[in-house]
Amino acid sequence: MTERALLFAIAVIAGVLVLLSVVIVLNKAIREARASHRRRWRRALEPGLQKYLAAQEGPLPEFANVPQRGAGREAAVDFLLDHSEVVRGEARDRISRALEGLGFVDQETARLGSRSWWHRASAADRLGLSRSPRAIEALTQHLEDADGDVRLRAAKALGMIGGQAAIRPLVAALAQPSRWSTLRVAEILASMGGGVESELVATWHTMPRVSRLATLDILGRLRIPGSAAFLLERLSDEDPDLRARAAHALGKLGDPTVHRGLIGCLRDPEWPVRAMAAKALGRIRAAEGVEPLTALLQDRQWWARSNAAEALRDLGARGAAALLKALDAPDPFARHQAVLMLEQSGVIDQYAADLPLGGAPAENARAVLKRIADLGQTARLEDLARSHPDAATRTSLAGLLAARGILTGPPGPPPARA
Amino acid sequence: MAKILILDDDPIIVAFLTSLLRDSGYAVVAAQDGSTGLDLARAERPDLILTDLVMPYRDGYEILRELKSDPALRAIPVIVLSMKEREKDIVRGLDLGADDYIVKPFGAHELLARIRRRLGPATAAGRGGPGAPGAS
Repeated sequence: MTERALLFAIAVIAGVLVLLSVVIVLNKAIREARASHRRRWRRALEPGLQKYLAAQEGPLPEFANVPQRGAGREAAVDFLLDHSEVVRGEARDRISRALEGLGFVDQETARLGSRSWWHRASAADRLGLSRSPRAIEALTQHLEDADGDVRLRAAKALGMIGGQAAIRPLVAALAQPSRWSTLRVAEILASMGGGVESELVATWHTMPRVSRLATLDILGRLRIPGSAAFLLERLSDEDPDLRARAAHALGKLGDPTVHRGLIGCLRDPEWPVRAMAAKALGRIRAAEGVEPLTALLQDRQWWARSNAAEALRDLGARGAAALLKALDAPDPFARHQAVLMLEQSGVIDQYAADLPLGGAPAENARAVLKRIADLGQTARLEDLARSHPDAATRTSLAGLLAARGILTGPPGPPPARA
Repeated sequence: MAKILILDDDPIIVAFLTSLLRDSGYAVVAAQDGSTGLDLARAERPDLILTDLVMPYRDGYEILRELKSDPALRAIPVIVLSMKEREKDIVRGLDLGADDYIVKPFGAHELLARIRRRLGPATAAGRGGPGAPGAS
């Protein structure tokens, strides 16, 4: 009896396994048959669809006879969505119009109302690819979706569609940090380019603080020269965070004519503003900034000093001259930063190469390198003494360092050929 | 009929460009990797090359270097068609001898206009004509 029961159980399990295998194989076969059917449709429709995209006028039915339902329609939709990432301009507008004509936009808008979050998320993605302005209203509603992923995908889709109607709800979303990652929305807005700046500037006075902070970041990333005047005005905002972000954005803009406003900020009572203004002056390569940046090397805050040194490094020969002077600064941090920046800008390497030349250049180089060696920051000098490709330079440097008890023994062998 | 060589590893782009250029009256040859592309350039001597930068075996920069160092191919105008939109990538492409640089996604009519600028108007004989050998 027990043996029979066991055999029966084994037979049942085997039967279930066989049934499952059959179901899996059948399912796969059906899916493959469908995919193959769709591929055939795509091959048949592709020449007409290609011509439709390349043409400047005429609706889709003039080029390809796409059925309104079934595998043929799906194949056409796949083709159009694939190409929406490849082309822009007129061809992309024609993709949107074709997808609207095939009922795709209405279908996906309806899917946005699905109970399943993944259907809503997928619909938002596909509507973004369609770039149809008809989807803007529905996507805007889903910026308030209960699911965070759907909200984000709706925002991305609006970013892809672009245009003023899509920008407006995204700017409004900047004000809801509890439901949104402000950073993500700012990224989307920054990627949308034209039109974003005017909307941000127009709504600035009604924005909460969190939106204003994000706005300044976005304006910096957009790098639209016309926003310089607006950003300069923000340098006198009473909120120090806004002043600092405005200075940072001006640096990203890269317009050297804004140097006066930034130099003024180097005397700001708040150190983040001073630090950001220093960074910005380096970025815009404003030669007028050399003197005030040199003074900032003595700032009481390390971040301001550090950014001042970095900015001087980026200011070419005049900046390097200021850094060389800073080797004698009373503040040890200023001296340390000066050596570091001279090293990063290649000035130390240049002086090392001058050592064996003789005459005034060699004397000058020797004086500077001795000063650096005396400050104790000799890592780069030791490295050059061991591995500089020129033997005379290695010998000169090794002698200079040995005289200070820093490097003993003969200079290193010539570096191995790569 | 002017002949254009397309080098791009994305079959969707190759198919689209092939159709666009043929319908505009050009003969087209295409390859989806850099090595085959160079072989085709030597064998077919196209009038213009449209190349992507990121491709298997040999990237677009290598293609440019090879083309511009070969006296027989040096004169062929090259238009780079790439997703790389950073200024340094564009400058590198132009420095290596590209005659033009178009960022993807691209405008089909803008591309045709830039090709016309290099080659002159396409011949009407090519419109809708059969594809050239090697076309994908």
